[in-house]
Amino acid sequence: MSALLTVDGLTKRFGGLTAVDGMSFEVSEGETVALLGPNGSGKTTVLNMISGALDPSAGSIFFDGERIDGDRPHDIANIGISRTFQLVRILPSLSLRENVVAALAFGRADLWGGEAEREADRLLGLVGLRSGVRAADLTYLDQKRLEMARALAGRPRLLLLDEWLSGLNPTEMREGIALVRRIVDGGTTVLLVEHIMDAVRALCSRSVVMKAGTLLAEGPTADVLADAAVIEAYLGDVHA
Amino acid sequence: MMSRAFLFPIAVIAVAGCLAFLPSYLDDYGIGIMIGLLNAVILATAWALFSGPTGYISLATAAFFGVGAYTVAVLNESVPYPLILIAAAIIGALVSLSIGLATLRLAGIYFVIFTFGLSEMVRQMITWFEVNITGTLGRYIFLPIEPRHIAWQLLGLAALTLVVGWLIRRSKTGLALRVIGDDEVVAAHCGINIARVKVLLFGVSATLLTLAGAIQAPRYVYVEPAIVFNPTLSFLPVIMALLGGARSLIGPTLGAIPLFLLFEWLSASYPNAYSILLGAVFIVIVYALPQGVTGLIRRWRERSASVVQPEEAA
Repeated sequence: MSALLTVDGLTKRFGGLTAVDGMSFEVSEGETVALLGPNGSGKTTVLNMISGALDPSAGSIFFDGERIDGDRPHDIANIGISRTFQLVRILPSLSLRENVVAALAFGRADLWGGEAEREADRLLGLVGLRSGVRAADLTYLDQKRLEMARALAGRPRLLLLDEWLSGLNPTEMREGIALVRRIVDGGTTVLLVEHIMDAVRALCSRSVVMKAGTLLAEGPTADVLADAAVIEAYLGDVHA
Repeated sequence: MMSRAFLFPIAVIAVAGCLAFLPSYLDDYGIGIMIGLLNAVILATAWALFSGPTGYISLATAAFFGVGAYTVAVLNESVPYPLILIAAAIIGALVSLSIGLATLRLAGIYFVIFTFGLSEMVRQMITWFEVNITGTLGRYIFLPIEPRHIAWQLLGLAALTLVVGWLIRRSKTGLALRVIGDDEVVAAHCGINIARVKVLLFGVSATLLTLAGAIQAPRYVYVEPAIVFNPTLSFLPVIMALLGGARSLIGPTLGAIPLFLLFEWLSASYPNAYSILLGAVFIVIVYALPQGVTGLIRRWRERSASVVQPEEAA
């Protein structure tokens, strides 16, 4: 397997605070990788740099052999990197269909008109939503589903999920895991930030663990989660 | 299906066609009112093309209107009239491009204040240029253009503005503007080039505003910066569009017509208290109708529709 995403020496400083400090890891095509670590360890900052929301202070990001660090978010969306947000972000004044059409029209799919509407309805169906409702009236879970449909509308080769499974009840969690698995089976590579270890074990063959902005551990998920340093990092966080 | 989709532009052209008979029959006062009404409709609608969906409140309308009028004032003795209008449109587009690029990173109140400041700056720059370089301040416009000719041109521009608005709403760019208005971060991650969409639409809006100033310039006969860069020109379209509903295509027109007539009556009846009353109307509209009249109608419809909705969802 070849590396689809290569992060090398990635660093982000906010004034005097170094949120991410020399992170390096790879994600291969077709893989599902978890980015783990206690709160504040810099996981979301890494996702923000990959998706172009933040410019790195140092280091590089390669996607399919092309250097993309510092590129604008809309360019990164157009080469096939989609994301969801830790705090769910939907477009409240638009219909569900329009929420998805937005990503279909301007992303890699480049669809418009009836074609885009049909594809939007298909994607809404895939995540278990119907197109008649207003986005602002959705429950929290349905908002997350809508975000997923919008992310998929970008025809991602790499999908970045920022705690997309958090806040779901056990039944919803099973549905959510099944949905992510279907997406992976469809050939999409996934990098996910998650705190729910059952979901990580179920979905991710490999995990990358961060602590205080640096790489703490990396390897097969079962080994990483049994690592003493990883357990200490998490327990330390739990007791804090 | 096809005929329904094109109902709006057909209706706009039909209404404009009917109104085109009016200037031949109206007296000077009537034509004056018609020009004022059309001006209000154009400014409010053109302003809302950009500011409505995005929520970026621009107070630069006076700058574009003034640039249009001044282009006519400077060129009226040397260039044929149709070419002056084309020149005004190009200059307006260029000024808006520079203002658009300068304000790209600003949002909210900063954008509002910055556009207002830029508007004043354009006025001061032209004043300085006229006083120190050309040695004049006011300019005369002697063109063989009667008020009814201006009314006809404005009617055409109003129809053009509404049809352009209709085209934008049907286009991908129209959707992009609404996405930007809801959440710029999501817009960028959907693949929307935010800077390009914003500058493009700001430019389209500004070009129409500039043309409104250019077409009406012959009416002033004597033009100086204090007249054509009047800041009230920046505020009135905002109030009118907000009253009617800035996110709807026809909303600004619905706000512009009653408010123009109200302000016309107020300025005639209470000339001294006019500005205070204007401010009071502004405050009442913002507090009582944050979504405008069209937003209110939409909410009523949704409320009556929501009675059936749970059944549908089940």
